[in-house]
Amino acid sequence: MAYLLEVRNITKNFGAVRALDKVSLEVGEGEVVALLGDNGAGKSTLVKIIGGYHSPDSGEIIWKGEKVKFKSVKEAHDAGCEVVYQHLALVPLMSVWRNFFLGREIRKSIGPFEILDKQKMRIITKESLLDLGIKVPSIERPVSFLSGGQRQAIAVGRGVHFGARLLILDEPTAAVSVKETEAILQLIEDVSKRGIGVIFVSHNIYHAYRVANHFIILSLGKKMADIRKDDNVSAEDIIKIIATAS
Amino acid sequence: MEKERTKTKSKSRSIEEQKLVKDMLKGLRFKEIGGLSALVIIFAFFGILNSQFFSMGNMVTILTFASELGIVTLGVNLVMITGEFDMSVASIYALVPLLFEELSTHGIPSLIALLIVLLFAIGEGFMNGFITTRGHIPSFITTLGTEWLWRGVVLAITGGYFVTLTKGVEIVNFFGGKISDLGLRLSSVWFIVLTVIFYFILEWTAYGNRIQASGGSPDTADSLGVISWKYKTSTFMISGLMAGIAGIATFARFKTIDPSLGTNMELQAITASVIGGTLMTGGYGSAFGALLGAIILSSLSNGLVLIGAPTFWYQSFIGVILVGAALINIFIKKRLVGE
Repeated sequence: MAYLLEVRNITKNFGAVRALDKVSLEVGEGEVVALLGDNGAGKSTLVKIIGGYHSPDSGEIIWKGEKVKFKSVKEAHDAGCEVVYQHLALVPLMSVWRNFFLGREIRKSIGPFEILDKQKMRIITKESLLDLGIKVPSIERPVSFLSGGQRQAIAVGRGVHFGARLLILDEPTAAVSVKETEAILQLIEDVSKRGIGVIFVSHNIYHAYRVANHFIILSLGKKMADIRKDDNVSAEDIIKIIATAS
Repeated sequence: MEKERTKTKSKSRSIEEQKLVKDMLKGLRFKEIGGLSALVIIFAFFGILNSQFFSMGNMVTILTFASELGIVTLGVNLVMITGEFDMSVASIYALVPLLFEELSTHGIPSLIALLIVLLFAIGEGFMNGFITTRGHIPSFITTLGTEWLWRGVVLAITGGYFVTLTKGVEIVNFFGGKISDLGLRLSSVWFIVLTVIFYFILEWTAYGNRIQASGGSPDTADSLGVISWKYKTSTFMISGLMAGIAGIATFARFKTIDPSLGTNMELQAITASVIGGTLMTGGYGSAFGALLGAIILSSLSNGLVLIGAPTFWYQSFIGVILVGAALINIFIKKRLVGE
């Protein structure tokens, strides 16, 4: 079976600290992979390497069957691999639709000038959010009015609209209300049903367990376990593994 | 049944539209409301104390001062929207017309001389932006450095003496010549046209969208392929150009260059931007706000003279207004964007 993303033996050092030690993982299309582990386990570093923020010291990344090196976040984005951070995904002072199309604005020509096609961008923003069941009070309001959950949902909606194949959500349920957590988990399920792969980085095993079908547990930069839901493990089993690992 | 459903649908849509219009009005109202109300108060204050304030001649005088400062402010304002400062404009404002005069007297055709000096202004802006963004030093420091640098060059070229306009009068007049008996100058036309253009750029172009993002959250912009340092650098280039144009416009009015021309201009431009609602932290500002800010500063200096107050109070006044405007901006920002 061909995977969407394969990470093979990734190692990354920061000075004398080995943040990642020969970590491998695979994500299939429409698969939700939970990346679990305690603080300092190397989750964020791994995410940053996949997303093009860092480059690995050794190891390789295979994207859609081809060996790649994402030299920048933009390159990863263009390939369809996108990391969504709760607070970095959007520009707070700008409206929802301006954020949605930032860097990919739709323009129309008026004489020699190219101006923003605001109407079109507003409609598309509204429709794509609605399509994923994402509720936002108004697409005209600055994003700073919205909660962390809403911001992530918009960023996910944006990724889906622009053809992302893999979305990496970094702690999407941290500091988010119960109701919103539910909405995010629902969104992850919906997105994966469209064939988009999801890596769900979390501390909360119960949240991860609900949506993921594949669990990767990191500890001190090493992969401690690679479990599938089919293996008949419960959330409690996973907690035990993490506890004994660290 | 079906009919009823479409009816409620259209009803909810119209409510949504109303809300949209309301939101838009709110946005428009808030961005410049501080500046607009300050202008009204200042006008009322001076108008009551001296009836001459509202005379046509005086209004034109205010506008002329406002235009020269305002053209500089438009550029500085743009730089501030990207979260940076441009302190070098005051020296560029003096150096550009001076270089123009030097080149013309050395036999270079005026039009070519003009192109050269304006290109120089743009290049200087590029230097500011490039050093700031690629060298990772605060723009405050970079541009303070170039401010000193170019002021030194101005003093060296002039030797401390006034320099008089000799050639290329018609070229210079294109930027600041008189166009009516009341004293209305082309610089005012330029100012208003440029304000509209800057508004348009900020509000209606992809470029405007991206410079707001580069100031509001450079990391986010970068991650979306909007290379923030390039956008920041481009605003420095525009700012340099604006300072140069304003300098030439002023040259048309005075016909001479005082080596200290434009001293404190950078502070006035920053003040005008802040009065106009631009945030010191970047990501937010408006061209019409900059216009209002420049008119406010100009009417203050003019009005204080008219009511017979010693002119040095102007500076104290501006200090108070700057801090007041910054406080109001923070308040408005909290109301408007919630953080």
